[in-house]
Amino acid sequence: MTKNLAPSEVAPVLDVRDLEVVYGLSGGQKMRAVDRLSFDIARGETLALVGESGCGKSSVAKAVMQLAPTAGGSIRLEGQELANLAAASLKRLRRRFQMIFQDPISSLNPQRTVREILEFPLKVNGLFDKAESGRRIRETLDIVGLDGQNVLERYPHEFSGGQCQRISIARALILEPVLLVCDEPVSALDVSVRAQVLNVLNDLRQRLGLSMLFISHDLAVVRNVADRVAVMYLGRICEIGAAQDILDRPAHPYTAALLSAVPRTDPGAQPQRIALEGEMPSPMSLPTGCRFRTRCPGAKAACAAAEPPLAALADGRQVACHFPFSVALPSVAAIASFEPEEIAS
Amino acid sequence: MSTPATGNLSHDDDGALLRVRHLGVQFQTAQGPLHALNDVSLDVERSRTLAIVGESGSGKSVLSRSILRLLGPAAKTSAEAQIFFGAQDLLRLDRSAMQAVRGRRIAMVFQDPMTALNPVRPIGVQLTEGMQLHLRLDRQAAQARAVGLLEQVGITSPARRMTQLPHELSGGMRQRVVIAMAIACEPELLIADEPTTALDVTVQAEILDLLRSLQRQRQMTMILVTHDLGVAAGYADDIAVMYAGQIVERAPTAALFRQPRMPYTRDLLRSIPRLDDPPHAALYTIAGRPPAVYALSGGCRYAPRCDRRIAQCDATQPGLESAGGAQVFRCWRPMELAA
Repeated sequence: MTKNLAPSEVAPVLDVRDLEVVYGLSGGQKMRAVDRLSFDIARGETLALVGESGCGKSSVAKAVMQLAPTAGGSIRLEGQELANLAAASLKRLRRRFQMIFQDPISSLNPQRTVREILEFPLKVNGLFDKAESGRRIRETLDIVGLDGQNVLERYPHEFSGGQCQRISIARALILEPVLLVCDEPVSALDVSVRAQVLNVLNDLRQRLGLSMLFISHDLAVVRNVADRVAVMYLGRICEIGAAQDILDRPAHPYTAALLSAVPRTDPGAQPQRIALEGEMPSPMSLPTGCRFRTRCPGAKAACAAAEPPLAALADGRQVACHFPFSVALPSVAAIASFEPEEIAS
Repeated sequence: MSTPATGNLSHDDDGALLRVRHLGVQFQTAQGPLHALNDVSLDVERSRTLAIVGESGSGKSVLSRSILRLLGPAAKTSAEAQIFFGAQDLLRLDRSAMQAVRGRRIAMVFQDPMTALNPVRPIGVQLTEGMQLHLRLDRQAAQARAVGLLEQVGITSPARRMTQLPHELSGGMRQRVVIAMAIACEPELLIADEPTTALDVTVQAEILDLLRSLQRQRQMTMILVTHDLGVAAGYADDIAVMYAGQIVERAPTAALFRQPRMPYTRDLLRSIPRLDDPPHAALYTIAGRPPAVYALSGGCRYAPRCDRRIAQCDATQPGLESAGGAQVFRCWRPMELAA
């Protein structure tokens, strides 16, 4: 199952181009939750999609899973277009991409034993074989760090939140997917069990060469699991690149503001906070030009005139900003001192 | 800083505004009595912020609610418990005397601003009713004061907001309104129970900054209940760590993070992902899960999960002891102090 190909040697597992997700509101209005968004994920790579509530990150996850209708663009899984696929073909493809959810308890049927929970996807996909499936279930439980002997005949309520999340991961893995979409998989978990689940996810990437789309608002968690990071604001990506580059030296002022707001556990390690003006505008009434400019402490006249495209910087990351921070700067702390100017109207 | 006495309360006013002694709370369940809190003693010093941190089920919210006596009839408080607020034992106040403390001298901010606010009543009405009741202000005076409060908590065009309903505001703005309500009667003690857990990270930072500046301006005493060690590190003067219904360590913030003595505190600290870790770093994991406490006998509650466990840990429960200084911990084999 494991192949040790470098990500660059193969086509992306997931390739999303110009994705649009539009929700109809009462009164015939339309809300553009995801606006011409593009990214790809290589084999064995974890891309984290980060941003605050309302930025559209969960809509992207749902669109990739074909759980929300897309209004435009393409979503290709191993080269195969998913949008507008007939139900039967989609069902055949589904075992290649699976999802785990935020709340591990409500995503498991309380009336089914772990064995039944893990057999179900095999049965639905016509892969159930009594002898073979038992072995497969034990192996999968082993991958997520659960003891197949002890847990099979037990019910979800007998497990902790972290164990339930590992059962959901096992359920997603039993079909041997190439892509795992994780929507805030550790947000509902306590500190001590969060670590177990993060270790399992990191282990999967390494052992199975699994690709992951990891949705999270928690940048410290993202730091732990992601190879690349895409930061979203109001339906678009404002910065995308290698996790280490972006989290150590953000180029977009929004990324910098997010990072500066994360509470640090080492007293004294807290960088000076970059305060944002006001609140996130409604996607129904976007500002002209850059959509972040109304809250950006460094906005200038040019920012109101034209929307900045995602453009590559020297280190390969892409940033949608007319005045990105120099990525040669050593740390987040150093950029907190830049001079805010009058915000152009 | 004083060390919480484990004995009975002596009435020397040592700067503690709130003194909790031997607080036990149990809930009747189908499996028998569940001990949510057991022998909790705690001092909260005047004009300081104490963070109570712990995982789900550790008892941190039960503790904060029992101070205001907000636990339902299913909760049974131990007979020997005392909660002194100044010279008054809150557990021995009658209903109307407690009512005069609640909202007036001790106020609370809850996790979810949407459920803390009445969805069908304008913000102004909700903001002024406490002041009319506790401060005996007339409608007009209360209105004027409410507008001033909204301005203080950073709400733009406060006069217009008074007529709005909660759903017309963002989550962050709603929490600001809840904070304005909480400080309206100038409480001496503010209890904030996970005040930013439902909020985004940039909004969380704003709300915590607001709470800190209000606390400093007004010399208010604050209890900050949180599961987030980062929040505690950034905003508390002192930290009490709870595990399985007990306080297991208490120390000034810097000391706790620099030199945790209780292995549970150390394990919590090393199992959280940090922004300066290398990518894909393996995290420390604590084996097993926190116990639900149905029996008070037995040894240290953390012993089954602890890598420093010795025979004594299984046999006898350690008390909350000081090794000299402000740091106290419940442990037979604490982490050694670095030279």
